[in-house]
Formats: sequence, structure tokens, C-alpha cells
Amino acid sequence: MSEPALNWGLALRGSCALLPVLALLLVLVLMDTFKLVRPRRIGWSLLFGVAAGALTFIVNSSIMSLLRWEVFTFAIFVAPLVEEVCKAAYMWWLIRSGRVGFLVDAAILGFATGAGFALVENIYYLKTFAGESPMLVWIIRGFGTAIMHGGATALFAILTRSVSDQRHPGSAAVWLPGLALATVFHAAFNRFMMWPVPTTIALLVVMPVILWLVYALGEKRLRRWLGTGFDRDTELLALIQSGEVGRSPLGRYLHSLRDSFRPDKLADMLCLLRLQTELNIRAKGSLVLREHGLKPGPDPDVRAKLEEVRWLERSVGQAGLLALRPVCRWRDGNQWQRHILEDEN
Amino acid sequence: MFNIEDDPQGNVILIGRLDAVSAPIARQHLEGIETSTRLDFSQLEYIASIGLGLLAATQRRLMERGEGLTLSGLNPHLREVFSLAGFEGVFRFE
Repeated sequence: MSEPALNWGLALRGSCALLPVLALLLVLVLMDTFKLVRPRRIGWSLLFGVAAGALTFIVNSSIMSLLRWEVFTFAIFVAPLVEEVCKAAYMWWLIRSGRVGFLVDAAILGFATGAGFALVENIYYLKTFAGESPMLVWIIRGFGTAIMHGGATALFAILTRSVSDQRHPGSAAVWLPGLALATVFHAAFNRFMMWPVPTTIALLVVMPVILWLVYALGEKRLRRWLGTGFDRDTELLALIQSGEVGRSPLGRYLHSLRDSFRPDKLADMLCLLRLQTELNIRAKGSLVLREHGLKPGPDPDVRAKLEEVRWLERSVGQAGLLALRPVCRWRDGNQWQRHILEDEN
Repeated sequence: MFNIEDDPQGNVILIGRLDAVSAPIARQHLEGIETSTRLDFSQLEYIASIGLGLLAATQRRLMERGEGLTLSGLNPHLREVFSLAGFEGVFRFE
């Protein structure tokens, strides 16, 4: 009789600790006016968080057996770094590959990854230490842990996404500040783990405020980018369609490249410019419609255009892409817009 | 310069440039539309993303009550922009 009762208690504690975090994740998703993140990607982030949690368990156990430090010291000085590195790896890949465009999607995917991680950690704690503390304390501790993990990875993602525009993608300066912030945040939480109730309350006050500020700032930036980007794209398209490219500053710039590129490569560069502009308009139009709860009409050509863009990029090579950068700000979200279209089609 | 006005047939005519500066004028007029309406773009020279947002918001509101906007008289460039942006499946075009 006692075994099922214990399992029900475990299930209740686990549910009470995790359901509010999933509810908070849902709130973040609902607050995303532009629906930047597809449910499938959130699911993958949760799953990766679970995998990172399992991996961390093995790594932490190995390091602990090597160092033989006291658990509390280990939890403050070693575990936060190991855990944040494991969680951050996936977010870093998402950002590096252009799958995260703005602060809002960075916050959602970071929080989802952390929530997945917390799922594993809470199950481990519940199974290991069940019955040692009153149920209310367990619920609060589990909730606090989940918010901390979600919040720390969201902070990493937000800061890394902010910095990634200004630095070389491969530079440690892109991910190091975010990792340091997440690790310090995590270590501070562990430092006060003996007082789970005040720590969780503090987190509950601080984290929503931070996320709200990030959302406000992120949406403001997105609207600005959408406005200026759409206008620039449509003007460029009008210029290309008009047949007057040759007499425009763009045309003069392309002419100036004749000494450096073969004529067929120059033609490919112009095709790439046009196709990427068309795809950018499609992605931005899609965001405008999503903001108002509408779905864009199907475009059977999008897949073929995405394929063609990839082929043209290979054809013109890195040198061609670099030469085009002054006229189309190549790194300015093109990759992310392509991922939006790939997800949609 | 931008202007928006109703013609005697109940169509709404957009004239000039619909951009961030003129968007409040357009918004005020579009918010007053309650039934299916034809928007005449033949005198519209330019539309910015904020204008597309206004059209999308109006369409969403009208669709909820089974009504909708018809966009007519677009020049070839604007028509292509609307098509590329995925608006063709959302609005009726003439």
C-alpha cells in the first residue's frame, strides 16, 4: 500500500513543480505577437534540454568522483558551469545557424531548453530525496529549479543573440558573456538552495520582469527591422524590375565588379540579389500576416526558390557574397528569413 | 501626400503614398469599414509595411464576421509585392 502512495506523491510533486513552468512557457509563446517560433522547434528545444540534463548527470558524476568536493561547494562552483554549457550548446547552434532572429524567439527557445533540463533534474531529485522534506517545500523547490533553469538559458540566449550581430560568429566574445551571466545566475540560485521559498519568490518576481522587458525591446526592434527592411526590399525589387539597374548606384557598383568577377558570376550575383529580395519580402509579409492572426497564401515556388538561392550562393562563392554585402546587407537576417520560409513550406 | 476617400459606389480610394506618416489617416478610415469593401489602389504610388499591417488588421476583423476586402487596380509592381508577400490567399484581388 505504501509503494503506490509514494508514487502518487512523487507524481503530484513532480506535476506541481513542472506544470507551472510549462504554463509560463505557454504564456511566453502566447505573448509572441509575430509567432516567431513554431511549436515543432519548441518541442525540439524541450527534448534537447532533456538530453542535456541526462548528459550533465553523467558529466557531473564523473567530475565529482574526481574532485571529491563537498556537494554544496560543487553545486556552487562546478555544476552551474557544466550545466549551463550543456544547455547553451544547443542555443548557440540555433543562433549560429540563423534559426533565432530576435530576442523574443531567443527567450522562448532558451526557456524551453531550460524547462526540458529541469524536467530531468527534478525527476532525479524527487527520486533521490523524496520524503525528506514536506510536500509544499518540494513543490516550491521544483518550481524554483525549473524557473531558474529556464531563466538562465533564456538569459544566455538573449545576450548571445544581442551580441551576435556585432561580433564575428565564431568569436568567443559572442557566447562568453551569456555563458558567464547564466552561470553566475545559476550559482547564485544554488548558493541559496537551503532557502527554497524566498529564492523561488525572488525568481518569480525578477524573471517575469526581465522577460517582459526583453519582449518589449525585442518587439520594438522587430517592428523597426520589419518596417525598414520591407521598404528596402520592395524598393530594390522595383529597381530590378524597372530595367534601370544599370543607371542606378547599384548598377554602377555591379559594373565596378567587372574586373574581379566573370560575366556569368556577375549575372548569378544579380539573380541571387533578386531571388533573395523576393524571399525576404515573402518572409516579412508572412510576419505581418501572422501578427494579425492570418496565414499567408501558399506559394508552391518558395521551395524551388530556396533551392535556387543555395545553388546561386555556391556559384558566386564567398567572394561574391562579400562583394554583394554593401548593397544587400547580406548578414542582416537573410538566413533567419529562409528558416521561417522553410518552416512554413 | 496621402488621401483616402469613399466614392459614390462605396469603394474606398487610396491616393498617394501610404507610409508611416500617413498611416494614422488610413487607420482611422479603415477602422470605420464594417462590411465587404473594394479598395481602389489605382492612384496609390507606394505602400510601406505599416500599410500592409493596416490592411491585414482590417481583413482579420472583417473575416471574423464573414466579410472581406477586395483589392483592385494595383500597378504591376504592387501586385507582385502583394503576391510575393503571401497576401494573395488572404485578400481578393481584381
